[in-house]
Amino acid sequence: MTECLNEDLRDLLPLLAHGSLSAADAGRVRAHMAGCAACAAELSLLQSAAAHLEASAPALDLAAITQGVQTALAQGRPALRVVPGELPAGAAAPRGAAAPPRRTWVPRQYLAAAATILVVVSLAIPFTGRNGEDPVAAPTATGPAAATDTPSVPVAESGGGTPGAAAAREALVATDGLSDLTDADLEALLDELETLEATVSAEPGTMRRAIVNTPGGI
Amino acid sequence: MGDPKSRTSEATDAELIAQWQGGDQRAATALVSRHAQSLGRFAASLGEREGIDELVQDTFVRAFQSLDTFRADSSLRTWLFTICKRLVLDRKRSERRRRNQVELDEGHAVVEYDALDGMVAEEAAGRVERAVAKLTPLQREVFSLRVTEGLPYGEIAKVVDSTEGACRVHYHNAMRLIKEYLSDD
Ligand SMILES: [Zn+2]
Repeated sequence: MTECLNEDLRDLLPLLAHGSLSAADAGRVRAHMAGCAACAAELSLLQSAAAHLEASAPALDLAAITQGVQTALAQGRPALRVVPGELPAGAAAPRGAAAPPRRTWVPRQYLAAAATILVVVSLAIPFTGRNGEDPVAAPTATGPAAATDTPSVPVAESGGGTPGAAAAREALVATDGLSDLTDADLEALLDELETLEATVSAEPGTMRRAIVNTPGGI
Repeated sequence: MGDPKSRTSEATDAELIAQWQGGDQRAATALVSRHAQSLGRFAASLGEREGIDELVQDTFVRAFQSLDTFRADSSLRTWLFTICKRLVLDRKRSERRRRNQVELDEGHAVVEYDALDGMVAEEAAGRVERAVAKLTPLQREVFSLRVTEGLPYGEIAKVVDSTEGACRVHYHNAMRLIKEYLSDD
């Protein structure tokens, strides 16, 4: 079977077989097929394939499915008959859906421990920040990374909180110029660390349909 | 259009979603009726043969429960396909795990089962059916979405997690392979 070289037109053949072409496009394709045996044969083949695929599709019990959907939603539970606990969060937000915020809440002891590591690393090797800035010195208490700007991290409690945080503070006090670090500073340092490790995986923000969800509203 | 029945049958997906969120249960029924068969066909093209009603039902439940993550830049149907596909993949994973467990428990090898091979054998399929069955899973998925659902390549790309151009190539490769198979047959 020789193939037609008009790729754009051939691309429309499955849509003609499906019946989803506009009248104008369908007319254009039919006019072309009148003089192109290859496309006429391809359309015939596509119609056979579509018929097969349609026929091999299962017969669904729509009433039962509708009832099942409404029952599951009324009970406010996810339908997890597939395998409970296995479906990743992405199933609720499949590819293309809005990504969750990049920043996640991190326990303070982890922040502190990571900051300690960062300090040790920064002492061990000559450190050069991006664009010539010193990322260690920049986020001071009066810097832009104030605690009020980082709602994803709990606001610092006075006194330093956990033993892990206290240990980290001791380590920081021993380091000239770093003794004033707040939790926001620690987080900023962590962010810098992440940047250095090139682990950024954020997706660009996405436009969402302006619909307010009403869970269980069915 | 005063008749509520004709209102749901003619409404767009977005309008039906809004009606459902406003408490109109008929809107959900209309959405299920509109898209369930496509989802069933799609699941079959992915090799699923059993429990498709449940799969379709779960797809709708997932979708209705996470409508706030539905993006306006794809159609509802495409979004439903992506949810359905994820459920199918999850099912296959757990099935594979279960088979591996059986293998461990019973001490014998489990032959990798291709659902479509079984389907084709059972159906004493014709030439076109056999040709379609020879496609790779990805080619079959793209081909099916294009031919039986009439999706634009851009929408297919979202479902199969690829690019529009790659989907176009997959479709044309599938078409070429089907023709080759038929000319050899
Ligand atoms: Zn042609």
